[in-house]
Amino acid sequence: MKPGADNRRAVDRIFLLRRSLAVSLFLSIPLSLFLFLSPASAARKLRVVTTLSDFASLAQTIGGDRVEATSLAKGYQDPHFVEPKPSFILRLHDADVLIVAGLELEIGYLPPLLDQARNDAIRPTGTGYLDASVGCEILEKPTGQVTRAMGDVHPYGNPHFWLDPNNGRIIARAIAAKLSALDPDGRAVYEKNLAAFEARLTEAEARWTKTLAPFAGAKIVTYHASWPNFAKYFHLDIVGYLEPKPGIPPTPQHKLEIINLMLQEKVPLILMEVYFDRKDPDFVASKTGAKVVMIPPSVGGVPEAKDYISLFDVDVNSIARALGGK
Amino acid sequence: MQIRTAALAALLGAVGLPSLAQTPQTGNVFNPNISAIGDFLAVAGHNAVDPLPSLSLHEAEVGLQAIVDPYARGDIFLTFGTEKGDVGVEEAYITFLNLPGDFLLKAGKLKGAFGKLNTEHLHVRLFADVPLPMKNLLGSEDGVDDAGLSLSHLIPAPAGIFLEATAQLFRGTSENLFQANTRNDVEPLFHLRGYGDLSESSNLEVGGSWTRGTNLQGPGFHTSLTGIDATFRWKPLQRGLYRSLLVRAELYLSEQGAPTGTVRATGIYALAQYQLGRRWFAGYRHDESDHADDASLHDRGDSLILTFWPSEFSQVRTQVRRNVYDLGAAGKSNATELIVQLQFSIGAHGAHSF
Repeated sequence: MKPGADNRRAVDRIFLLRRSLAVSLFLSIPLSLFLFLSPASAARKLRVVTTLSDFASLAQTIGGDRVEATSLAKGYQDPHFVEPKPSFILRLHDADVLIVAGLELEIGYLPPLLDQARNDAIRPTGTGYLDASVGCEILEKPTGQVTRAMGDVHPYGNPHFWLDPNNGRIIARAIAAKLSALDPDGRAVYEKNLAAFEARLTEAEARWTKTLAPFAGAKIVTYHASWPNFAKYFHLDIVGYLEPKPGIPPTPQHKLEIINLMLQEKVPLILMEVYFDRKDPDFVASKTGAKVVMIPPSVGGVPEAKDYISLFDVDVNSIARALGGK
Repeated sequence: MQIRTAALAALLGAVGLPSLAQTPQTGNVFNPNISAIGDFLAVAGHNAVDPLPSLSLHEAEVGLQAIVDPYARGDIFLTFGTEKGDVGVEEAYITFLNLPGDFLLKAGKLKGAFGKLNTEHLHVRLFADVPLPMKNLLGSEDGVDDAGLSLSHLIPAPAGIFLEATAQLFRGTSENLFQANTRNDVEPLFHLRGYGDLSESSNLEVGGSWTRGTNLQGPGFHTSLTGIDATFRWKPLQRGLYRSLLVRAELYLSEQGAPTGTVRATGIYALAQYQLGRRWFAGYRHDESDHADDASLHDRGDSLILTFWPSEFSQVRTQVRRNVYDLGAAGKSNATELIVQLQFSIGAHGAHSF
């Protein structure tokens, strides 16, 4: 070792010490500010963004005060045609959790939003991403070749699966698990809220089933194929659609076919979503004597459908009133 | 050569380095989404200045889009025209999605973030032709479309305001607009975009753009382009399937260096499109533009546009266009034309940004 090396090392040590002191001082100011402000930060709610209002309702119910849940689509909006507004990019940028319907329901707007959100946690491979369809009963999975000649068909099955209370229960459990994984401190709260929700849902199911029991097997026509899960659960028989094919508006020829079908099958009810035009259903109803019931397929579709359970209250009661002739 | 490549791949494999040649394949699972969009034009009427063919496959665009790896996605758009050899790469870029600091980086060939029209592929435009200011001041229907890098950043803004700044650096060659003669002739481009919701049904977007490159006059001559754009959109959410309105105006200022001095030329187009029904849209567009190389020449035009969507995947558009071209001492040339456009989309084409 060369003479003077120890001195140089000592000088280096002093320099390093000074530098680390300077760095600590430099860091300590924002750190102390952060600590000063940390009570607010620690109490920050988990930000949940969902594509559909139904998932936001469930997330808010399960998450309670620990969560702030909002949806991109409104309940009175066609969930297939949501515009990818840049304001959504901001919300996704700040989100801790993203809950989607999957099954390509959001394919027209979500991918470009996620690409610009600069938030890896909520991308499909991220820890904050939740595909609500996983584990749910999905109907109308096409078999055989799928082509666009079939209209705007979803190759992985019908994406309106949340309109089955059993699926609602599965989604609620998945949300509770996701929230618990991201916020372990809140696990007890989430589990308690989930149990309370499931109890309310079970009680409501008995009420809904009783209300619609007299109409089991009733034949109905719907505007779009939004209701297969709902119809299966409540034993309604969908015999036709006003849309000749998914996403294609009613044509004169198809309206004639539906009128003939409804007269032949004695169909008393046309069920339609709140975002479609009433003109065609009203025309068909005027030729067949059927009733048109416009109901929300999602929470917030009408003001009374405030949450997941009141959505079914509105839908079930509207159908029962129409079929019961009251 | 093949042997050498194989040997290199074997070597890289032997030392544990990844190589493209040894990328494993798992059937079609990792194939990109493939889409194709056809754009067919039929034109009738008289145009002595800028005639379009009577019938043409204006463009067939093939898109290949996929996630590259945990860090990036790749998008490639190839275009084909009616003529033999009419093939090009419209865009081919990689996007790095996970950069720190809210940055988004793209590298490859891409459309410049200059205003709105320049960023749009032909099939998402709301008319069948090219507006006069784009043709006169941005050179062609593609405008700034070049190899380069793009870095964009979200800027913190008051609640609900989306503010994004983009800086791009291009090689400096775009059709009929810029021509890089040396490596130093790179073209910087800056774009600032602001967006705010006015209500749940309406919103306003404004943007400002600037770029500068070496122009076709030769080395040492530059063109600066400045653009301002504003778009108002209205779509009542519950009736959104049936009613909407879009109003847009875009203004370009071109400052073209030439041996005789700098030519300052301006151009503007204003567009309104109203949705009449679920599948019907009516539009009107007004164009005004000087010539980039002679600001005393001023073209103008008006178009009425009617668009019908049989489904989400096809479109029929009729445009009646009347352009008045300024020929200087030779007077004016009037052109009234009917343009019919048929577009169809097959495959899994990725959704477009707003």
